[in-house]
Amino acid sequence: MKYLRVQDQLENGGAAAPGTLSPSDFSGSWLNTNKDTPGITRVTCRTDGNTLRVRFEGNGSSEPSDWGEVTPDVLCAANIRGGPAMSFVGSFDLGFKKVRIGANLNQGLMVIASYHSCQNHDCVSRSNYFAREFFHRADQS
Amino acid sequence: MDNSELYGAGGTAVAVKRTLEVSTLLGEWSNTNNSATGIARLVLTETGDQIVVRVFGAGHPQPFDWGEAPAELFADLPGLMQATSFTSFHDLGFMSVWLLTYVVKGVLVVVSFTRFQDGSGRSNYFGKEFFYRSREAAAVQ
Repeated sequence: MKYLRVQDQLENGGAAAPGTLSPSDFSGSWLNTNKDTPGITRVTCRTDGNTLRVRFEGNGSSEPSDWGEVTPDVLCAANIRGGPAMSFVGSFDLGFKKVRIGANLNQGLMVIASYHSCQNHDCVSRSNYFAREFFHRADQS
Repeated sequence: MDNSELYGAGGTAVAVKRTLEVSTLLGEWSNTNNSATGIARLVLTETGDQIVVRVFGAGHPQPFDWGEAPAELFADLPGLMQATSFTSFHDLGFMSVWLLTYVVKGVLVVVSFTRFQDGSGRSNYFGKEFFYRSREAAAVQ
């Protein structure tokens, strides 16, 4: 079994139990803990079997109100032995910019890192930028 | 400095404009945990008109060299010109890894999303590690 990090060796040399990652822990609506955010205001996650679909919404001024819905590129468990999905990486193409998203669940929060890449001639005045925001479940409001 | 890399679907790199200042990121970053089993260190260098990151996975007696991949750079805000974070995609054949990173208070936080593509049964998994700047850019040229 090939590896390029010590931690990627499986203990006892055995294969992990095969299986798919369940994304159900993400299901539902998530609201930014900062009600005045200029960025992402709401994230809605739904599952279709073991497929996760995520929809992002912005404040409608500095960010589009609806980013659309995407399927993440990669769902990840907390470790190499598997378990429920607790993180994902994906991307949105908003036309004027592309946004790479990394999200993970941590202590009841969804932590989202977003990397915004400008795609048009406004790039002269707007640099690519990074943001990190925190979301709680909407039913906890 | 006016060029960078942006990732398309699946990590395919296409050239776009870059205007960020990179001194905060260039150089060698070593894991704050001497016993780390994940990524041991990263080296960011300027090669021609792009920034590349070389990753070394923890291994014995020597770390594993993952080779280089282009890094896309980001500032803290759209109007700032100092790069403080980067993303990179590493396709290593049997596995692929997204690195989403950011610098906070002099520490480089590296979040990794690993997907195994070799049928080994190892789960996709999420990781988060911390790095300090062990060598400035001039020392690694």
